Amino acid sequence: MDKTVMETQKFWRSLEEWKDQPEAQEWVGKEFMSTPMAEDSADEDVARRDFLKLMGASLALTSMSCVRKPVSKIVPYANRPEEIEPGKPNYYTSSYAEGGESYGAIVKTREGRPIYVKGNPDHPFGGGLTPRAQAHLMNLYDPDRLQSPQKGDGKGGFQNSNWDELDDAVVAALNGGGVRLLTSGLASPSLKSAVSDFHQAFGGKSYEWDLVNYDNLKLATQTCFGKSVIPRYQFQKARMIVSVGADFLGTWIQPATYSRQFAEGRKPNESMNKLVVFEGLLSLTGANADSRIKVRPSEYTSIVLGLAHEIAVKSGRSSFNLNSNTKNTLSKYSDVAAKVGMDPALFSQIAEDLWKNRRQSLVVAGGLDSSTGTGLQIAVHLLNEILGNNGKTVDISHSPIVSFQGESDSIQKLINDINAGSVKTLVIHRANPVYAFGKNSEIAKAIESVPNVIYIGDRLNETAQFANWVAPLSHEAESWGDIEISEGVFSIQQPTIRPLYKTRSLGSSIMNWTYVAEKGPGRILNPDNWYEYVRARWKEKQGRWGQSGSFEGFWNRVLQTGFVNSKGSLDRAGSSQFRTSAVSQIRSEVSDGLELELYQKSGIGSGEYANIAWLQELPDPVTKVTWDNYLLVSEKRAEELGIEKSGQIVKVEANGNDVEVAALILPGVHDDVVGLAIGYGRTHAGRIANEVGVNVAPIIAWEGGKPSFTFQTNVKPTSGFNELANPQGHHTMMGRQLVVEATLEQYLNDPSANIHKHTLFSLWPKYEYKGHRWAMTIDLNKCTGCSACVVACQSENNIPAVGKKYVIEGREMHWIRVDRYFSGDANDPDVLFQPMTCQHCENASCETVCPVAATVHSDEGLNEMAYNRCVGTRYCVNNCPYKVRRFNWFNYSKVAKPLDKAFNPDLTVRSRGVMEKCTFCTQRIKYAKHEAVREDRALKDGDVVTACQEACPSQAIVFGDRNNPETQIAKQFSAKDSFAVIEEYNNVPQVRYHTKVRNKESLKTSSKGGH
Amino acid sequence: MMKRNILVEGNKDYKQISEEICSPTEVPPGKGWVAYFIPANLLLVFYFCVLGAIIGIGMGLMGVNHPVGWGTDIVTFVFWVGIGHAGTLISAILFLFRQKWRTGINRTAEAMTIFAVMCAGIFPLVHTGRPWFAYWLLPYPNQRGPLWVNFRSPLEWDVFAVSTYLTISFVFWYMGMVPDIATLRDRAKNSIRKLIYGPLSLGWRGTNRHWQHYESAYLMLAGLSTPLVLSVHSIVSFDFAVANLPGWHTTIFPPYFVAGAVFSGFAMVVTLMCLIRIGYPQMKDYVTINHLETMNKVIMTTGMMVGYAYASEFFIAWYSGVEYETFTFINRAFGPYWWAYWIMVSCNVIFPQLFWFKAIRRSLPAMFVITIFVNIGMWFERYVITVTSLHADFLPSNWGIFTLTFYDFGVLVGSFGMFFTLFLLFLRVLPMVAMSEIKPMIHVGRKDGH
Repeated sequence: MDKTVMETQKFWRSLEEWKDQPEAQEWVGKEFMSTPMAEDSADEDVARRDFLKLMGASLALTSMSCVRKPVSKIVPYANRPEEIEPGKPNYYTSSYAEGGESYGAIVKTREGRPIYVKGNPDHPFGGGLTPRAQAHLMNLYDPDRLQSPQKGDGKGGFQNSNWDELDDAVVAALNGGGVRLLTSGLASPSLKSAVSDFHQAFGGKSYEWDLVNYDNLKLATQTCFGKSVIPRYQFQKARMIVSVGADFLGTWIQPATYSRQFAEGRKPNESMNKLVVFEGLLSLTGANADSRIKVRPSEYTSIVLGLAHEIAVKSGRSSFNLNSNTKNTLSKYSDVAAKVGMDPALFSQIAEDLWKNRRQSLVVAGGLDSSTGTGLQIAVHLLNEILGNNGKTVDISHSPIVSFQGESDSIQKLINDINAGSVKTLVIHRANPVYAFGKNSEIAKAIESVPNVIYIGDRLNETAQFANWVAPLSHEAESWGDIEISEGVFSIQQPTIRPLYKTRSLGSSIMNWTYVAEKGPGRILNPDNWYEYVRARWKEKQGRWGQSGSFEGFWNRVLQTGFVNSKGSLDRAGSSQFRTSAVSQIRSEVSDGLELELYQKSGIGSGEYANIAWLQELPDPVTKVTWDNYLLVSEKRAEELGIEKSGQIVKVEANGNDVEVAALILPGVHDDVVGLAIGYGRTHAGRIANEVGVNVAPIIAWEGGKPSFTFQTNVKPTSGFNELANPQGHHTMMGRQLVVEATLEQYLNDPSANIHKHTLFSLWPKYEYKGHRWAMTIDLNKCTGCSACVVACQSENNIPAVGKKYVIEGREMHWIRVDRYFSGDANDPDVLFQPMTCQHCENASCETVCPVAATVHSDEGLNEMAYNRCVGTRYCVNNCPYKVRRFNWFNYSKVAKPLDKAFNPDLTVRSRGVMEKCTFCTQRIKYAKHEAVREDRALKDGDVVTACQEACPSQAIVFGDRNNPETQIAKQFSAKDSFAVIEEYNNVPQVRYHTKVRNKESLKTSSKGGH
Repeated sequence: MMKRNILVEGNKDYKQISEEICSPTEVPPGKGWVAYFIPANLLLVFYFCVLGAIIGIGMGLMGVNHPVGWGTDIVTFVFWVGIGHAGTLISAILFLFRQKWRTGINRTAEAMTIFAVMCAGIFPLVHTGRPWFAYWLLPYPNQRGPLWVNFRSPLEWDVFAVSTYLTISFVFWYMGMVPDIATLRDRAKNSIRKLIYGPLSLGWRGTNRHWQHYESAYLMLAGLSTPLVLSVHSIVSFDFAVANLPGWHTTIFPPYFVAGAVFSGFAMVVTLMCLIRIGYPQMKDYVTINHLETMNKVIMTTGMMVGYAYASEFFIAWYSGVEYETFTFINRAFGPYWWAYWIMVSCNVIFPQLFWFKAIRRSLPAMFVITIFVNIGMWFERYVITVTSLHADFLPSNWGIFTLTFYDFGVLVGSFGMFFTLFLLFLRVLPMVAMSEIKPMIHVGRKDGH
């Protein structure tokens, strides 16, 4: 018999002997867990608010095949916490920040568990969220998170430890001097002051670094205006928007905020905005452009200057007095259009449109990009200055964005420090440079050479492998914090659950270490805990922010609203004197080889949240591919390179190194540009993300200590093949009327332009809807295709991710998906998006064919699905023209613990063998009705908000009761520009779409005539 | 007077007939039978393992996906139900039309029908996500509300159509066998046989009264079964025709499916008869080349009917002007599943044309190969209808590809294991030719016809 088994099966002869066993010793004092004392114990893994107290669900039984229903026991609260009412959600304002991208958020908790995030609608950076912001809560329940402090050997070996041991060791190291702190960008003012206290205590310096930063933009603003900030763009005020490589609807700076603003100006009327995009790859922003021109990334600067030349030199117009030097500089760019191979007339027209809309136009530029240097951003500032946009649509001085604190040259500075031998102890918080630059990079070697490396993070990631000590980091939902998003706008981050494990926030670790070392200023030594420290910082500033009244009152107000705005109306914008001298710093070198542009995908971003399966399985808005990164390449270039089909592995050589990755042939990519997403190929992120995709680190170029994301490359096909998981089957509309498109002119003449209406009749009497009648409209003109709705729906409705293999097999489970179609020329297509979910048809095809009546029509117009009744014949999905029903091929509800805690208890998880689909968030309808009954009132418009509607940053989705003529839906539903998909089949869908309007002269496809 | 073909060859007398037909059930099995039975049985065990895995782990093991919600299970279900058509058609319809040549083959054909329908019946059960709840499809008073079934669903109609068909076919088959079982009982040499065949023969003594009742009941059941032959496959076709999917929603389906079913059923009977003639040489006198030739004529005729249906579908798809229909049919013939379509057309329409030649019609090896091709073609017909319509329907974004997995092949091949096991057992324990019907067909005591 195995030795360990022998040991565990030891018999005991007396109680005394039994008591001597170490396990028994551990049980002592834990036997009676219900006393508050025991629960408050810091050593306790599971704290008071933990839901286990409520549900002792045993899912073990589900692992046995053929057992159909999980047997679960529920235990009521013996002593119910005052604020928690079982069955009723609590909402807390909070914030989301990753790197610098930050939003005001509201966290929904049920029985003490945070389960859902939505944008804070009152917050200046609230509204909708990005997919990543929506999903980041799942990191809290990630089974691969660190649960206790770790002692490492510096070579990747770890053993469990405890905080006492760690604190002693860390403080001893810190006392030894030579301290450096590398953090990811600290947008939190409180953390910033804690860090300065830390340095006051232990000396040393700190560096802030994020892979995705907007350093060039900050530097350019510094050069042009003397202020190192990111301008706060106001897309809602702009009627003419030119983006040169900036994917502001997908990944650039504050995409969710920009989506909302962009949609605001997108109303199809006389003042509808116009979006022109110059780019190399096909980004989400490019997909939404009215006019999209393919250029190489190295031509970005000359495009901007070319436009400036058209306006200021050629036409001699400018809101700003240009000196002759500048004019001379611009003169070098007189033939840009010809150089980049576009129609000069179109180029002049764009310049003309910009000038026509001066003071209400906007030019933005630059993607994930340091290599184009500050020159591009200076050029953009200049062009905006010429157009008089600065101070109108571009806010530089009133309340610019300050949340991006990471600096790209921090890593080089740190390497220099380490190489100079001045670093004895390196504390790294959250930043993961070893992943970003590769394990053979200079920074990895440098970190390895530091005697004491302390990593503060939520998992043993690539960088943590070198750590001697790892201090597990609490999730944002477990710790207090604050963020200054734009100058003077402070957002609070409230914890919504006690730490699930033995974890601490950075602030609390700093406090502990200063406390143990008895060093540092009083403000960090005196408060009891991190919460008191944060409060004290806010108390200090209350007056400065012009907030009157008692601190307690102010604090409560902050917690309720989630933010403080000390700047007055954020509609205002300010600027300062543009320093013309900046123009001389512009460099523009156009290369002529094949350019590789690295970019971010809106799901994965820089890869920090790569271990969230929802994000891996979120179809990329443009390519629709899940679970991989790939080399984007145009059809023509693929042919030249000898790439036969998507999925073929290619060798991408650049900067003396190479990576092998699958190619994806995508229409709309510039023939001389290939693209590759960062954030993939993690090796130590967790079971989900490890080895998914390819890490681009080896080929990233370093220029003067800064990484560069655009460079020359060589691509060689290999014989390997990696099938990409694309849930979308076909990419054109086959001439069918699925998305209706119209030009603005057509639309203004007739809102129902291009909609082919059908005369329909039925032999059968119609359903009668006496009470409510739920319906939805989706405005395709507002929808940008960002896919936040997909993740929100997953979060709200407990929808599983199935993995790459099963996406390939066609088993993805999303209840709402965003169909993406290309139309027109295959090299330069128009892109159309269409969120597709259950259409809740009045004459639903699925209802008639279900043999057991598991899917039925409700008297409120909902197409209801009774999971318990379903036997799984799948006849319904076969007969559904929209194919929006999803089948549980396997037992998906059995998830690794503690992911089950993220489930929304308002609806069930579905067992194997049943069909499921969008319910119009029926649990929310029920809840709103109960609330209305309780308050003795009728349901109001807006009482029921579906998850997709809530998440939509551009507010394209309207939901409500069609039977009430006062509601927004009642007006929208019968609007002239609304249409139903496959209307001629007379399914009478209760989801209707509004025409996609393009602000341009003609569409790339002529719409099909009648039959 | 036109002289009919001789239906039983070899100038036999009654005793000889009883001896030849009963003996396979009375002597120990020959090597040939064992050589068939062991592989068939192993295949059956394999089938159970595959089904167990699918029920235990999930439908996801099979190739079905989104958008192709029905795959091998439904394809093979329709395939077996189709095969199950020949038996009752031969016994009932040909009986009513006084086609005496049926007597040589009706017993085996009916047995085949019942086993085929049994094989078919398993598929709708296991194709559901939760087979343990499949009984919910039966409308019976229950404590869940009571929750009633949805009578609007063609799948519900299937439940009635197939179960009725199975019941009636079984009763018809069994009743027709009673006089023969009585013969077995009378010939029984040991008590075990007596114990089995005694009760099964329901006290048959062969009196005048017995025969009188038997004849009228048989006629009545034949009358009852006849509409069922037409209805069951019509209703199975409704599974497709009532749905609104392009390629399914077609009014031609009921007659087209019935013709196809007769086509495949007859082909299967011919295949089996060829095997019986090899395995039991004494049966050559009862299952004559004349029989088989007649069957082959039916196969050729129904094959052309099916071919007509294929052409007509294309015509209607074009003539209707519905873009989805037009696309579906073009996609069938030239899309990613073109190979399946052309296998179907060549096996079902082109190969049976060889039966125009009398030599081929009467050649055992030729008909054996052709009828196997017909059944391959008919399986592919259902595959083409089910899969190609689903894989690319209304919204191009949904389009997907269905591929067969190991488990798909497992259930397909395994179901043949079940079929052949049952069929071989039948050959061992029951008289494979209807003695009581054969005996009036011979010329004992007569110089020429009656």
